[in-house]
Amino acid sequence: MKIADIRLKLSQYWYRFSQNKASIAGLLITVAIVVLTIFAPHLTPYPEHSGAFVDFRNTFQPPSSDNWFGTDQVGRDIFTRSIFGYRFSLIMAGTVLGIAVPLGVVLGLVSGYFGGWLESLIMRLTDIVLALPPLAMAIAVSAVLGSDLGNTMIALAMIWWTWYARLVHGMVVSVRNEEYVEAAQIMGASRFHIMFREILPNCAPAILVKTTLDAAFVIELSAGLSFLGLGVRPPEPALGTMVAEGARYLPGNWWMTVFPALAILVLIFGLNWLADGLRDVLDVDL
Amino acid sequence: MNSGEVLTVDNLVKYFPIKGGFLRGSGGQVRAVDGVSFSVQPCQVFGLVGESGSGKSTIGRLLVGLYQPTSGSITYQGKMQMVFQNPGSSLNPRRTVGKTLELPLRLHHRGLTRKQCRQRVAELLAQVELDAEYANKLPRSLSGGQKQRVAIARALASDPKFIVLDEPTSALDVSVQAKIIKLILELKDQLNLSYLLISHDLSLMRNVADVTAVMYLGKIVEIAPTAELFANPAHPYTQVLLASIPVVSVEEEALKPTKRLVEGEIPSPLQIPQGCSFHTRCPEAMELCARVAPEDSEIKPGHRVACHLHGRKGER
Amino acid sequence: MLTYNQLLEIKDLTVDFSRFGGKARVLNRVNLHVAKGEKVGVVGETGCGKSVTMKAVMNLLPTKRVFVGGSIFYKGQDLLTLDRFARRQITGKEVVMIFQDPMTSLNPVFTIGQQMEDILGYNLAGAQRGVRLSKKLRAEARQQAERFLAAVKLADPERILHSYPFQLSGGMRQRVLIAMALANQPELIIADEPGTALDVTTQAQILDLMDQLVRQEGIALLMITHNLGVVRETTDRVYVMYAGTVVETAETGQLFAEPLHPYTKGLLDSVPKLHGQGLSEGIEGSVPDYLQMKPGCRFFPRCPQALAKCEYEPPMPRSISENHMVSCHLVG
Repeated sequence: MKIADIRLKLSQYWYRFSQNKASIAGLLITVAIVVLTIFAPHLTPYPEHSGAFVDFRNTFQPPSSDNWFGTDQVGRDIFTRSIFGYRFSLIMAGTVLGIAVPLGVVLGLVSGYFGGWLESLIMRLTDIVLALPPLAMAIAVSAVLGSDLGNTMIALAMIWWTWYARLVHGMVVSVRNEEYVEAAQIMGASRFHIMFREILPNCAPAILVKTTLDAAFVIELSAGLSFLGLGVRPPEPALGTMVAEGARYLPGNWWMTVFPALAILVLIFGLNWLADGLRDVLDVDL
Repeated sequence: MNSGEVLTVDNLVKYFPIKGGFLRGSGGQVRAVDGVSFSVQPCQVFGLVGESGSGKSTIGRLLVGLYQPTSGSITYQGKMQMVFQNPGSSLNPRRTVGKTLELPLRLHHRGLTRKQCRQRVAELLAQVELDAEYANKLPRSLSGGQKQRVAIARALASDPKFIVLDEPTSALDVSVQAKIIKLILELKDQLNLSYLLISHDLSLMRNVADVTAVMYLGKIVEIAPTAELFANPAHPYTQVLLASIPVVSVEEEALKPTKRLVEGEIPSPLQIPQGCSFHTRCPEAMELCARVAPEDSEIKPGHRVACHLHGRKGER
Repeated sequence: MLTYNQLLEIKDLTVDFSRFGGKARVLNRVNLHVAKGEKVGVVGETGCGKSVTMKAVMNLLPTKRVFVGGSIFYKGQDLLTLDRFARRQITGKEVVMIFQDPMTSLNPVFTIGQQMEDILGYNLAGAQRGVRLSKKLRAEARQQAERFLAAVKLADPERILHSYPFQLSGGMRQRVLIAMALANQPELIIADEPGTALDVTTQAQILDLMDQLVRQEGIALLMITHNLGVVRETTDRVYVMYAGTVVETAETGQLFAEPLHPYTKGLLDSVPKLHGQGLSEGIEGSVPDYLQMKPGCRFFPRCPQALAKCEYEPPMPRSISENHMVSCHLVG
């Protein structure tokens, strides 16, 4: 498509998107956090605090102009560690969804389009897996396989694909009888083409919105896991771990728990608002 | 099959099985198409008219291979394509016009370079009176008439000899319908095409189809050259259909059979009446009609009716 | 007590939608009236504004980014100045609308009986908000429902009351919609494309039924459609709309016998006929973009008989004879 057309389309999307102020906030928050996280070593005041670092002269400092979020029990800057802590969250979200989404989408497409025993097999499998509560499963897997980050992420992905398979399967079933699919069939298009070039693009908006929402969900889960001490090895910062550790020093050194918890909250809100905005713009029924 | 004909349909039957669900009973079948035979000549427009449940759309889909016949045969030369009713849903909303047209091109002419493809797309668009720049547009920025033109271009892309037009203008405004019909007829002459025109609009049929067949609940009840059908409708259902058309002038009013409202509604295709399937609503039903299904009889050359009022002898 | 001439009088109704790219003037000073017991048709093609006009009357326009000007008088009262509750007393009760598609206008998860009980019970309870219906009221509502279903010639009303919409055919659903409209004992029924989604023989039956009922009860009918044949056979007077304005209005017989506006002529010409040879050429061009309205006549770009002044000067409605008005520089 020509540049002018793309620009026009983007400005139309922006018009719709900007109707809801929360969506804009969500977009800004998400983008800001992602940028901060990627460039954390350059953008945080005390990047070295993210590793093994101690400064016993500065322990338990309340929020100040030197340490916006205060310092923790070994003197590390909580603001810096919170930003680095986002890394854990985003890596979790990225990896889990990076595996689960393609896997789930393909299985959903295949089961929806071919039907028959393949459809039954895949859908029953998703039924079984969906009956398991994600957090409990993640804890169980972590406990069994050891708190190795990689294993935890793969285990979560193995559960997560089912949502996408379900979602896409439903959409494929409703779209496969549309006339443009019939037209492609009459022309003799290959099944691959019909699934991936005709049907999938129509599912893409819903998949995108769900992925955004799920990112928030996975981040919440990862915070829960790290809170329980699973999946993360100290001194790597993770927001959940920071909340857990800081909780021991309540109510006096409140900044050690409150700020990491707020950091999680802000990211989740941002993603949810962004997802709402995307849903409005892309006109999705979710 | 005669050497002249483009398409011959012989005793075509399509039954759809009913799965269990909330339809109790033995299951059974929907007799969508129940023994239909006709043939289409080169460069001819063959019209199939009927209301819901008549089976006309099913025949269209059988011809292009979307459904397989339960029995009977379809014999044709060359390629068959289809143009659908609803321009809103017959084009993939997420693909540009260009990509939509490229699909059939790539499938039928292997080894086309991108440049050749683009050129051919532009040629197709020109044939349907659209500028080449439409190739970059998405369906949602097109009007109903423009979308339908794209659908026609898509059908032409694979060089067919025969096109099934399923209610091609029903979803369009009346002023646009006229232009699309004109385009379709011009293309027929330019490219030597034959058409199967499926519609519920009798006025349209009269002006476009060379031969018209009237369908009711899966069977052809009357078939004749169009002018003859409208001048001398023999089957009571044809007469009722003609009488129900709302017309726009007093002159046309005079040309319709006298107004008669038929009783009740079209029976569900799940419960087709015994004997003549129209007898439950026919204003001239006889006792025989409830027991015995009428056979085709030719009352004039090329004019066939399936009705007991026009028995073997061809006399009322 | 306000005195009034016309049951419904729409005066200079103007509707703007705020959209990406600016404001779209979707209705431009529409004038329309319906007298008691009259049958009026509004014809036009996609985008002409006929549906928007009816939605404005029924208070169904979206609330955001929509601007409404002009007045809609019902029995002398301007509906646009009423608050929501006062409005609700009229639209939905004295003025009812039968929607286009009987397949989707009925709530699929309730039986017909439940849906009709709601309407009738509400009316019986004095149309007050938040009233719970007693068993006695429900029973009475049920009886009334049966009577209305019989009035629309549905056989076995009792069975229908217990049925869900999917169990009924299209024609039956349309009759149910009509019965529901009648249940309010309205003075005006607005029918949006009645019968368009139905087979032509069923449509003929439904139109015949509506004609009878409307005559019997003295209800006024405002019918919106794009089907010129239907309008000719069922209405007393017609409005022809194009691009948000009324271009011509006349008594039905008169309009079809002697159309004056080039658009009306083009429309009638486009309809395939039962006589004569040859097909029409349709009307050149397409509906204008409402975001970029040019000053003159909205039909100018497509008009085969346009004059130079048509491009700059919008035509004013002119009376040709009683009840026959045209907005065109060529006429009058």
